[in-house]
Parts: sequence; structure tokens; C-alpha cells
Amino acid sequence: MIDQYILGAILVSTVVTWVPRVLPYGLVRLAELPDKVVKFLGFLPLTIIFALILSSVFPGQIGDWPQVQWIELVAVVPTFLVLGKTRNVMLAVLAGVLCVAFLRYLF
Amino acid sequence: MEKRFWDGVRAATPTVFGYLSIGLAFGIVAAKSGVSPLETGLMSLLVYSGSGQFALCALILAQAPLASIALTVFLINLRHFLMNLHTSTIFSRASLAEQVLIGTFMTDESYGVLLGEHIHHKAILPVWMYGNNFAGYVTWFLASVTGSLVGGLIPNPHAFGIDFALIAMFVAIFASQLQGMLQKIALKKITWILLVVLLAYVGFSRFISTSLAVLVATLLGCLTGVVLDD
Repeated sequence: MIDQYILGAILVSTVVTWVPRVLPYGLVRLAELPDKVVKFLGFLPLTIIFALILSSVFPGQIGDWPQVQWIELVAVVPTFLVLGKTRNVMLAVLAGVLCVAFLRYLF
Repeated sequence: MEKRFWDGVRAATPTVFGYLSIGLAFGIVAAKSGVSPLETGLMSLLVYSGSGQFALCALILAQAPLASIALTVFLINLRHFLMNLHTSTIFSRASLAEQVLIGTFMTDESYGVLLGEHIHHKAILPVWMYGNNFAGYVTWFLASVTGSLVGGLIPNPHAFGIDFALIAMFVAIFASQLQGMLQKIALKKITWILLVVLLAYVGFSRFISTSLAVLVATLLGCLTGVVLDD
């Protein structure tokens, strides 16, 4: 049922994914984070969330400029509008999903 | 009132819908790559990384050597190091076991939900984070195995736009982060930081994989924030 090669692939991937996930908690016990690093990490929420949105709406392709996912890009607008009007994340998500479903139905 | 496990599960609702859709899609891709339902389930339980698992299936299909699989998946998920380093400052009083439990099951999305919560409440219990994490974990496992088993029989989840739930959630989290930041930092500086992230992402994605471009753009954005402060 389980192929040896695939099992090996899963196990090495598990190790290389898990180590970066838990190593930080060990590191901060060895030495307190310098102020500069804490300040650096303070910008992480803004920058990483922005970069993740960019990577979803403009997926990269090596050797060329990123593509534009037009439907997703357009759907960001109603998501923002509903969020601004209602301050409700669930309603904003629903508006975005409905917009994408509608646009994918059309195009 | 302090928020408990089920409050964390509830906060993860957009993640659950997003993983449902993308997990099904992943199961279908895995089946097409010659990965059995059992192997797909094992992969989702052990590796538990969306972009990592899609890449892993492509590498398995290409019969890539284990060393290049290890390197590729490592680089795709290296941003978890940064997210968990930041998360260690949020759960600084938790025990190592609690922190490892949080780190092991944290994803881009549950980190995002954590950030949204952290804007409003500075003291967050580990159990709230467990709820936030495990809602996604269980959904991802069930959806990917289901996709692998019955992929050909169900309508294409892509058509319903449910996968956009994750992007929409990130947009909402970004808006609240931006609002929070604007109370502490000048708009001009934030604009510079975001501009650096944008240009770095667009520029680097021509030469390196999307996930690495995200990592490099994030690092340069944070660096800009530190440098401009002084």
C-alpha cells in the first residue's frame, strides 16, 4: 500500500518542515532576542501577509513577470468594501467568495 | 473573559472553508501524481503544508532524488521559521511543550488568524491557539483524503470560489494590521515598507520560486522597517 520511495519522500519532507517550525522556540531559550530582532519581527505581520496576498493574486513564474489572477484581483474590491462597511470578517470573506464564484461562472 | 479552545476553532472558520476547497483539490492532484489515498493521508498528517505538499507531489511524479525533495520543501517552508520566531514573542510565557505544540501545527493561515486576534487581545491562551490550529489540521487531513478517494466523482470545488476564502481572510487580516500599524508608525514609512515588499516580490519571482520570493520580499520589508526607524 505504501511505496518505499514515497514514504521516504514524506519522511524527509516532514523533518525539513518541522525543524523550522519548532527551532525558534528552542533558540529563544538559549539567548534572549536582541532588540533589533524584536523590532524586525514587529514588521513581520504586515510584510508577510502582504507578500502572501501578492503571491496569491500575482503567482510568480521563473523567467517571466508574475501572472495576474484577474478574478481574484477584482474580488479583493468587494471583500474590502464589505469589510469597511460591516467590520465583519466572515461577511467580507463571503462577499469575496461569492464574487469569485460568479466571475468564474461567467468566464 | 479568556478565550478557550472552541473560540479558537470558531476564529478559524474562514481557514476551514479554504482548506476544505484546497484540500480537496490537493487530494485530486495527489491521486493524479500516483500517490495513494493512504499515502496522501499520511502526507497531510506528517508534512501538513499546502504549498509544500503540492510541490512534493510534483517531485514524486518526477521521481526526484530525496536530497532535492528535502531542499525544495525546506526552502518552501522556511518562512515558518520567521513566523514562529515572532509567535514565540506572543506566547513567551508558555512552556516549551506548549510552544512546540503550537509551532508544529501552525500554518500561514492560523498565524494570520492569531495576528488578527493579537490586535485586540494581547494575552492569548495556548488552548485558543490549539483550537485555531487543529480546526485547520483536521479539515486539511479529511479534505485531502476525500479528494484523493472520490476526486473524480465530485464537482470541481474551484468553480465555487471557496478557495478565495483564504485570500479574503488575508485581505481582512492585512486591513486590521494596517490599521493597527498606522496608530504607531507614519503612513509614509508604511508605504515605503510595502513598496519594498511589492518590488522585491515582483523582481525576485522572475528568478526564484514564488515561496522563496515571498520570503525574500518579507525579509527586505522588515529590514526597511528597521533601517527607516533610525
